[in-house]
Amino acid sequence: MTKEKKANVPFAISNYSPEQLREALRKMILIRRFEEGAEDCYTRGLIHGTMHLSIGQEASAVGSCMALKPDDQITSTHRGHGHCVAKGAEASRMFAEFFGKETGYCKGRGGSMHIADVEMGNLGANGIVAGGIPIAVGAALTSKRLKLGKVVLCFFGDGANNEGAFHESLNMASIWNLPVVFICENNKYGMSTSIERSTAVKNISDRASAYSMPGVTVDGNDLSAISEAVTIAVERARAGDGPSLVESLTYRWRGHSKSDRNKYRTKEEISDWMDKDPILRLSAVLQEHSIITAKEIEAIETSVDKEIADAIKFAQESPSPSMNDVTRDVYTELTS
Amino acid sequence: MPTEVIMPKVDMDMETGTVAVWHLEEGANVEKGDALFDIETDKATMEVEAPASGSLHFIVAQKDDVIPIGGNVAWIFSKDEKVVAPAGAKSAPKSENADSAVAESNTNSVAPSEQSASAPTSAPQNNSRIRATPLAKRIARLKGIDLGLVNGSGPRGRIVKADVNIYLSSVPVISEVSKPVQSSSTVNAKSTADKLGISYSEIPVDRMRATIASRLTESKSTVPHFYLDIDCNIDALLKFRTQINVALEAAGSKKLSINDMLIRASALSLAAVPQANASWAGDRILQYDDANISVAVAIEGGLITPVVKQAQLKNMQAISAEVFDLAGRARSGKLSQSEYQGGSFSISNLGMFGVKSFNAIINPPESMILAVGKATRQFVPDENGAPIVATILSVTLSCDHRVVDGALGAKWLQHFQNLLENPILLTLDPA
Amino acid sequence: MNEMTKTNTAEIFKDGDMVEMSYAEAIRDALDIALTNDERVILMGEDIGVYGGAFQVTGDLVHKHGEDRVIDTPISELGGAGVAVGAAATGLRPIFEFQFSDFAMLAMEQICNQAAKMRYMLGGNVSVPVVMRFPAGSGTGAAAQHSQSLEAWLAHVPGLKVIQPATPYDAKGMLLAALEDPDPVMIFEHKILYKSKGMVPKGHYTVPIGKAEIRREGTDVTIVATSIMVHKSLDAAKQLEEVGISAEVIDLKTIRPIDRETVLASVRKTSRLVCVYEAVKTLGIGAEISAMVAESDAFDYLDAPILRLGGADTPIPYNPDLEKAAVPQIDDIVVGVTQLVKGER
Repeated sequence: MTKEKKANVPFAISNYSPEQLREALRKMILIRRFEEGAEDCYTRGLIHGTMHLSIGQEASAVGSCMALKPDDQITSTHRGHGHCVAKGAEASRMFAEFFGKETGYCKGRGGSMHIADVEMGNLGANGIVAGGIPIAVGAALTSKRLKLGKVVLCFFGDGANNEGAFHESLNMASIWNLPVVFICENNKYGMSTSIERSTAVKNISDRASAYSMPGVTVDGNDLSAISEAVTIAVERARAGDGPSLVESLTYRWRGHSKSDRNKYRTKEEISDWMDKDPILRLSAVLQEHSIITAKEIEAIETSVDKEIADAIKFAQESPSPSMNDVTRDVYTELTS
Repeated sequence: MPTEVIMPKVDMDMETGTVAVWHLEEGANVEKGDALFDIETDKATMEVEAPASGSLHFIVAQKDDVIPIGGNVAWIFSKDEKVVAPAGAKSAPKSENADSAVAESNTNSVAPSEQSASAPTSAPQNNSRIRATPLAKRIARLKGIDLGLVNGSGPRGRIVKADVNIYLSSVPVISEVSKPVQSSSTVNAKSTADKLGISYSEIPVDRMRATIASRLTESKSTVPHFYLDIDCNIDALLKFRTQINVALEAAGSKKLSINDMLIRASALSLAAVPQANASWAGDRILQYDDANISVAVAIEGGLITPVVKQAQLKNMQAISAEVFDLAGRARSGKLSQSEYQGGSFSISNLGMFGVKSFNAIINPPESMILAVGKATRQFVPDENGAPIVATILSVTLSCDHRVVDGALGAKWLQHFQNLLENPILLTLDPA
Repeated sequence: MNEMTKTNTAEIFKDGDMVEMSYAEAIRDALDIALTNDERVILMGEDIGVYGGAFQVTGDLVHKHGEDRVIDTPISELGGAGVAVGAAATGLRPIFEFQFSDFAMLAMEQICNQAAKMRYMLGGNVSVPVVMRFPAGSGTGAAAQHSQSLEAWLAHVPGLKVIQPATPYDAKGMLLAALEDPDPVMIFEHKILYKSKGMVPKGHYTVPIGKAEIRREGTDVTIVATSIMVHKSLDAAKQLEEVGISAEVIDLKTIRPIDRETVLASVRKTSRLVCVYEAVKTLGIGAEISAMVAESDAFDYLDAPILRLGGADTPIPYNPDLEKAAVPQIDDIVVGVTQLVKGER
């Protein structure tokens, strides 16, 4: 149960231990450095394909996953590196996946867009907008039917809120009262099309009322705010009271993908959002409440830098898949 | 519409022909019947005549090109005809081997629909494409059959399995080995020699060698041979020959050889024992009306067997003249295919090389071949058992047991021996 | 419908163990057994509960197993299929019924992008043992949007298995086999077959996926047929026998993965191949079978062109005569095979 909120003390500070909060900061820094490292490798031509970076959205991923137990599950999106790290994945195996190596989470078959750590409850990033939403509802159905007690966190972006799958899924989750929390990370643009130009409602959370579930919009760059909203939703789901929709307002500093030339937004807008850096904000709050010192933050940054460097080295040195295995895992190989 | 000049099929088991030499050049005026070019087949060199009058264009088959039978070689345009590339003339088959030449001509046969409007609208009949099902082709390949000889019963003349089977049961030649040069023994010889470091030089196999290898391998491995030896006392024959030759020499005529007399004796024996003048035809036996005697002639690079047709109707002098002519032309490569095909019986004589006797391989579809050795002077017992000297000729008859049983072969040999030992009978007409 | 003789079915049953059932009843029997034996099994679909399914396949199962396990979905094919996919990936054994196979077009994203690829994309770390059922085919007068045969669409997607049982025996046995399969299995059921009857074993048994069956042996021509066309081909084979043509009829049963060996061995034997299927002829299963034969050593045994008898290149028309004209009928098979064997094609 959430602790009673003290005046002026953020939810996170009063509900999580200093260790948990320091770990949250470390994960956000890890996500940031991971994506910067991935971008650097991409620029150097070490990683092929494309990738969708969530730099600037770290609080949304970490704050949401803080509300989960290890057994709980998530479904993710094409902008899913942060979700994967937040749910507990290792940077080394994620890099190995980006490098297309056999040691990657998907053995080099998925890449950035399908990154998944199934063991840690991440059912996978998804290359199809809204593709993961019905799957999350299905996972919630399993949890309910088999009485597993798991809650499923379903991440998707603002673009997905206009897909039929979103509406069908929210409706079914509601009529069947399933333990699923829908988290819409609204970063203002579905690729280049702004939410104002694409969506009839002012807030995506307004959609919740159509499916008789709670809907709330929060500052997604404020770890405490997002963790508070998701915690309430997760507890509701775990209690058997059904799904919720949380809209997390955030912003991606980078373009949609590596081929984005940022024609649809201004430098001023990007600059304004960079001033709302969720990592700096959390660092400040934690220092303000004497949970961490500037020196300790520096130490975290140094250790994360080393972790990223080691992870890239691991990925580079890992074996590539055998070309003979190109069709492996299309079907389950039945061993008799 | 231009007239297509094709690689004609001039030989029964011919699949491809090689252009030996062109007698006319691109653009030359030709009259129908003019010699256009020579082709080299397995057995001989032949002239191909112009099928039409006009001017010669689009010569696609150059000297030494191997063209499948029916394949396009050139075109003849009539006087008032515009010379434009006809369908199929564009891609000249330059390939060295027949397979790719077939592939090219197949491509050509598709071309007409893609031709521009200026091309002749109705392209000349292209005979290079044989329509056959994969199964028919497979059987033909395994049995060594030329599908060009098989009538197709399917739509547009497509040859199906049943057509091949009908063909197989109607012809005597059943070839299981189409490429003996590729046979395993050849491969083994090379690999063994290479392995043991035995030095050798490689001699390329020409078409005649390949044909000999193919036909005789096929014969020896598919025809059940058996052999009958007999000794003939030819003292009387030699005396008879001397008498005749004295007369011929006085008249300025060509003298008879022993071989001419053996051909005559064989022909009369075949006439007397017609069951032995026959071929195996799968589900029946063909018994021939005439004694067509193949005479093995050694030529450079191999041998050829010109045929003395209806030998039973020809006297020794006629036979002698004919053999002389055939052998001469065989050595110069000028035999037409009809002159070395259609034999019903063969004679092979190695006596001049001192060979006493030998077993010959039957020349399919014939059922018998007579191997003639050297006549030797031997002591033989006379009626009282006392030794006398006689000239003995040993001959060995090889028989195809599917057609000729032992007793039948023996009957034929008896007859033959009787003729040699009583040579005056050689002057009689067959009964 | 024909009496079918089993030639290679895995299990042999005594008469007393068999009972006559319709195709729909056989499926229901399989669903009932699955729901009874395995807590993880759930049924999902539109109007499969108290209504009993549009074709009365689920019937009264909801009364026996409850609404929690025989789940009426909203009319949400995409979302519903996706829920089934997600449930399968996380431990349930959902059997999803599309009311008509045509409606599955709304769910192609979840079927082809998610179910088919999830295992591969995730490096083999997930299985998606979902079973989907597609009532398919023409003959009901329901016209263009309720009569299609779309199995080849799905068979084109690696990661899916696609089956077309033709008999009550196989409908039950293959459904139970599909449930045991760790990968997504798509079952196309011809609607006209639902009322066809046949002997079906009682209790649990499986018929292997990926194995074709020779329904009738013959020497002159191999007819490879699917679903309802198996029956039409067998009827045609009887007529052909009267004119001296011996047709071998293969019930393909599974179109992905195709049982190559059964087909190739038969073609090597008969030297002629005819593919009969109701789906649109162009770019269909017949093309795949033909190409498979042409690419194999069996090519060298062909003694006639390959013949495909498939649906016309048209949406299924409403007018009953036109509807029949749009898909192969027994006479078409008799005429086509006769021409082929007589060398008229």
